[in-house]
Amino acid sequence: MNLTSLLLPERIDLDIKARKKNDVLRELVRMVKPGDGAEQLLQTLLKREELGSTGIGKGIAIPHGRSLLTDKLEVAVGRSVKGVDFDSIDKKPAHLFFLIVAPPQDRGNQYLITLGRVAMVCQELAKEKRLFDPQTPEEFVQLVEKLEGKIR
Amino acid sequence: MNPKIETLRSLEEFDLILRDIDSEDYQAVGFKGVKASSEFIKTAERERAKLTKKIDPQLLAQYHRIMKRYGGRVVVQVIREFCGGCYVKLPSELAVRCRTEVVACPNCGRFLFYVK
Repeated sequence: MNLTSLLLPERIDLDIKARKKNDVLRELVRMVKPGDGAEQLLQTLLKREELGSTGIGKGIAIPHGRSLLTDKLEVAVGRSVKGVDFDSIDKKPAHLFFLIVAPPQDRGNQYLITLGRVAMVCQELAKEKRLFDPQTPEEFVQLVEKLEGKIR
Repeated sequence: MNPKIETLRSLEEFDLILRDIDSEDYQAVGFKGVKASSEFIKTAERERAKLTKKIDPQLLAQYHRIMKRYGGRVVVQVIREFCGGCYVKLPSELAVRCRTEVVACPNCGRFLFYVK
């Protein structure tokens, strides 16, 4: 499964306004679960963060978790130009947030495969210093597609 | 959602997080640091205890029994009067009661919840 098939332009916000970790998660959750279940999903993600930040450094965070309230893999992306303290491993602010939510069980372990691909694509993004290149969600998807091609 | 079912749901999601963190695939993704952290076990136990202490011992025992039997999917959604775990058609009154009460599927024993 390509990452681009999971990236919906309406779930990509390249100018999120949140300035705190919890608020970033709330904005991302709102994109994948606008109504019922949003608060529950947020709590699940916060529990995961309690165990160790999903801020992998170089300005990137990949919050993720499984939810009983979803039946398919869902992704949302947020970007903050100012950056947000996400307790990242390198202690630096995170700018790009890739939320991944999966159902309790998934065929072929797509969740962890997707998580791995997101981590690799994000590392390429950081390495090439292109976090801030895309100006529209469509441009972001195109860039991910290009970088995903590189890691195949 | 019934608050007891809500807590059971949170517990299952937390257990899923721990299961994933423990898997080799997850370690390979690049989140090795989580489990390697000296704080990890302490934090995991503390966070899990926060949830389990809110659950009646009887329900918790049932949760563990179902988890052991099926390896997951302990708390499942009712989809159009069908159990989301074993897909058996539920009696209509049960499908309604699970909106407010703690109800288990008469076929597989999984806890049922309903969302609009």
